[in-house]
This record gives sequence, C-alpha cells and structure tokens, in this order.
Amino acid sequence: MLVVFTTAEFFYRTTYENEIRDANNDIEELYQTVGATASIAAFLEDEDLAKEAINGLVKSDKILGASIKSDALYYQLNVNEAIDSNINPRIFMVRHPFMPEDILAEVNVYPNFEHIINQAEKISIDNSYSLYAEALVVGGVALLITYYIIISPMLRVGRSLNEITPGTSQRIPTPKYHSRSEIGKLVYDTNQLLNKVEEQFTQERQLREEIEFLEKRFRMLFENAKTATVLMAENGTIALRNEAFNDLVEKTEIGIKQGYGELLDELFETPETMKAALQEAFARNEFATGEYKLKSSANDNAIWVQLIASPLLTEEGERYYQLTLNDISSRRHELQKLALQADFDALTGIYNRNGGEKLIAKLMRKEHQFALALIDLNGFKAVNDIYGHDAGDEVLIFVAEQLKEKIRKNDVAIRWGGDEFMLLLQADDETSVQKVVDKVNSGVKQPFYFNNDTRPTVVSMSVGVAFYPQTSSNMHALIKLADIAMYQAKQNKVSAPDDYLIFANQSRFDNGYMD
Amino acid sequence: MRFFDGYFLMLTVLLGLQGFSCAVNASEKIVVVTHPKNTVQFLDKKGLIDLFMGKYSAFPNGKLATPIDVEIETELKTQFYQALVGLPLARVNAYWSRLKFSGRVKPPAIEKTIDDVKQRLKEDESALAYVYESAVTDSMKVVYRFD
Repeated sequence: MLVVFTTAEFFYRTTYENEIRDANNDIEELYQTVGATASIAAFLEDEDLAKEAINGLVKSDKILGASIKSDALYYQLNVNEAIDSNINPRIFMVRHPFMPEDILAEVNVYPNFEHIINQAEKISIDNSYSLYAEALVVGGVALLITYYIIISPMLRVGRSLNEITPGTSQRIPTPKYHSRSEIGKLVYDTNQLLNKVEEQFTQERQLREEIEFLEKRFRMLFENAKTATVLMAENGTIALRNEAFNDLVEKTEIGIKQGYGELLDELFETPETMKAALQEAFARNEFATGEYKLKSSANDNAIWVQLIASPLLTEEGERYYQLTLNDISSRRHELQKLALQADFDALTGIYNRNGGEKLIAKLMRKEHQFALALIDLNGFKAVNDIYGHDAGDEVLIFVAEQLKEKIRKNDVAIRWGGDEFMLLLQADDETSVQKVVDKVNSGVKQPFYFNNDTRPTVVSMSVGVAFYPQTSSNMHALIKLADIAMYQAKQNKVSAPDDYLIFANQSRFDNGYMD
Repeated sequence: MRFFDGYFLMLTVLLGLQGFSCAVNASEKIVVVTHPKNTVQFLDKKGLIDLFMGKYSAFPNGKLATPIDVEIETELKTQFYQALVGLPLARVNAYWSRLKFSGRVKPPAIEKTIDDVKQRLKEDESALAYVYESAVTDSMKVVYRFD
C-alpha cells in the first residue's frame, strides 16, 4: 500500500506537470484558432471581431481570462480576476494580416490553472483509483498464485509430514510442478532425513533385538544357575535373585522373604563372623569367600554354604554386592564322614590312634583330669602266627568289645595300633583306675576257642597308667611315661601275672627292683 | 510562433511567385489609379491595403474613397491582390466573406470589365482602381505603381 501511495503521488506530480504542459500547448492551439480573427480585428480596429476572438478564447475551460490590446483597441474578459489570482499571462503578438512584419497588437491569455490543477487531480485520482484497483487485483492474483503455487503445496507437505511415522518407509510425495523448486528441495531433504532416521531406527531395532537376545541368554544363565546368586544393594535390598537362591532359603526355617538384612545375615547361624570376614575383604575391595552354616530348625539337616561375596561398582557409582551361596552340605557331610573314618578304627569301630590323639588334645585343652591307660596284649602274636590274621582280627574285635563294654560311660577306648589299646578314664586316683582296668582285664581274660579247637586261647594284657596332669601335662611325655610303665608291667607278666597294671610315676619309686 | 514562421515562409514564397509572375508579365505591370481630379497624388502600399481591405473608406485627405474590383478580369485581380497582400484570390474572398456579417466594413465595389472600370473612373471622383499599366489612359491618375 505504501508503494501504491508513493506511486500514486508520483503519478500525481507527473500528471500535474503533463497537464500544465498540455494546457500550455492547448492554449497555443486555441490562440491559433482565433489568431486570424484577432489579427483582422487589430487591422480593422474592429471591436466586435476582437470580442469574438477573446470570447472564443475564454470559452475554453483551460483559459480563465484574456485581453487584446492595440493602439486603437482594447478588450478584455476576466483579466482582473486572473490578475487577482496572480496568474501570469501568456503573451501572443498579433500581426498585420497582410503585412506580417507589422505587429498590431498583443493578446494576453491567462491560463485557468485552477481548472488545470483540478483536471490533473481528477486524472491523478482516477489514476490512483485504477492503481489501487490494479494493486488489489494484482495482490489478489499474487495471493491466489502464491496460495496455489507455494502455500497449498507447503500445507500439503506439512500435512503429509504430520502423517508420517518416523522410521517407516513412508515418504513425503513431491508436490506437482515442484520437483525443481525450493519446496521440492525441502521435500527431498526431508525425505533424505527420513531415510537416515529409518536407517538409524533399523539399526537401533537390530541393536535392541541383539540386546534383548543377550539379556534373555543372561537371564537364562542366571535363572538356571545351580548356584544361589543374589545381587543386593548396600542397604541389603535384594535387586536380583535366582531360583536356586529361593530353593536354598526354602530349605531353611526362614523361607522366602523380601530381604534378609545386611549381607543376608539373617540367613546365617553366625552372622557376626561372616559379616566381619566380608567387611574386611570389602574394605580391601576384594572378594570374600568362606563356608558358613545357615540357620535351620533343629530337626533339619544342617545346611552349609560356600559364600562368595564380591563388591560391585556400577557405572553410576552405586555399590552392589554379588553373593553366591553354594550348597556344600552334602560335601561337608562326606567330609565329616571322612573325618570320622580318620578318627575310628575300621576293624574294631573304636577310636584309632588319630582319633585318640585328638581326644587327648581336646581333654587337655579343656583341662579335664584324666588317666591314660596304655594296654598291650600278651599272646596276641602267637594267635596271629598259629591261627592267622583273621583270628588275630577276631581277637582284636573281641578285646575292643570287652573294652567298650567294661568301661564307664565317660571313658573312651582307643585302638592305639597293632595289639596296643588305650583307655582314657575319667579318674584322678589310682583306686578307681584299678577298679575299671580290673573289670576290663577280667573280660579280656575269658578263654577263646578258635575253629572248634578244644584248647582255649587266653589273651592277657599289660597296662601302664599315667595321670594328666599329675604325671605330665605334655601329651607325648604322658604317653611315653605310660608306655614305660606298660613295658615294666610286660616285663613281669610271667613272674607276677597279677601285677599287670603299673602306674607311671609310682613305678619309679615303688618298683625299685626293676632293672 | 511556429504558425507565424510558417506564415512568413508562405508569404515569402508567394512574394517570390509574384515576382516571378511580374517577370513573366513584365509588360503587364499593374498600377493603381484614381479619378484625375482626385487631389491625392500618391498612395503607399499600406494605404492601399487599408483602403482595399476595408480598414478605411476615405483617402488620406478625408475624401471618400471607393475601391473597385474587376470581376471578369480574374487574372488582373489575382495579380493585384497577390501583389498587394500576398494572398491568393480565394483567401481574399474568404476574408471578405467573414467580414460581410459585421456590415461595418465594406468590400470594394465591383465592376464587370476593365472597360466598366475605366468608365467608372471617368465618372466617380472617389473611385480607386487597379489596371494594367498599358491600359492607363488620360482619364486616370496613377497613384501607385507595383514594381
């Protein structure tokens, strides 16, 4: 509209100047039409003719007033009015009609500037109107063209862009006649972008599938692991647990719960030791391992687990613990059985030397007073030699039976090795020892018949006794002293068969006859 | 102004033509004559124009003047007006037909032939006429002579 206004103003100026110029030309032409009359009027000094000429001029809209003036003639019309309006006249010389070299008069013509300006304005206004109308039409057409060529395709492009789901093969169709335009380029570029997006989506989808596949595998691995595994936060919240863990806790009296306290301590029978060991390892940022017993009700079998705990630090800096609990109850049972085997004599079922030593050590540790009676069989070698090993074994089994039978409830019988036995008796005086050993001896001395042999076999025994801690508080010294005493007894098995029992410390002083 | 330029040019051409015709009719020079008794001895061209073209109807001495045209002798008339005002006869006729309505201005009196003109000159003391120089008689007084 500003352009239209400026243009209109420019048109007005131009039109005005044109009109002035045209008016001047017109005035000249008008004068020419009356020039001859004016000339004749001047020549003849004829007022009527002069009037005719001047009136003829003033009749025109473009002329406000006019006058003719010669020596003999003056006529004017509207001249005063024109002079009032400050209009400068156009002056025309009136020549002699027959002697053109003579100038007879002059005609002053006063242009009607008001009319000219009006005319110019009218034309300008018309021009402006047509200009505005044109601008309106051109604007409308431009708008229409813009709409159909630019806006409408853009709207369509926008709409189809809205309908497109990124990552699919959907693309924006290029609008008609726009394959080479900016819109076409925009659509092309957008489609390129969509291509890239689809490519990326496809890649991401593949990646996600791969991750899902992997995750499934890992989950399977985790869920189906035979080892109970738990991933727990520092505060004891269990983040992950597998079936094996649930199976394990179901075996305990606690059962399946949300959490089991810090480091699963509720599960363990001795949580303090477990926690101390774990925390110590964690402080060094190492994994901890150890075997611990789980809490279980009294009638259930004890559940032992090998616990492996490792601290984990996530990428976000959160601390987690991975705890695996390997049920080692059966292995432990086996081991116990093995330990049992190590401590007992396979033939006689009583403690063997190993078990005996452990017992002694234990008694000593607990500072129990006891008497150690070392027994050696007399005549056993002969049985072995005459009747064979099986018979010897039978003798040994028999002796062991007698020992077990004849000792008191808290006493222990041990096969010390070969035909040597040992009794650990709860006693601190020789009398009670004597009493028990006599009882044992009477049992052992019972005659024995092999293979329907009519001749009975009799096994006797020599016994050396030492007291703990009176005789010695050192196990080896104690055994050694008992052994020496037993050997002394063995020396006089023939000479004094009843004196088969010798007390270690006593023997030194009471049996001075020895050696 | 262009109009006037053209006018001058035209006049110049016409004058030239007149000069030519004068040369052709060297023996046929035109003179303006009056009644012998007329006291006017000489008239200039301007005075002739004023009289023949209707501006004045009296001689400079104040006596009535009656310009006379010859109707039949077109050649003479044409030559005369050509020489006097530099216009063809048609234009001169047009001039008069325009002025006829005003009534105030009278065109020259008309005589049919040269002889009629001669006769008139004998009888009318106010008469003013143009004749070929060869036709000048004693009963005529030459007041102007075209070169």
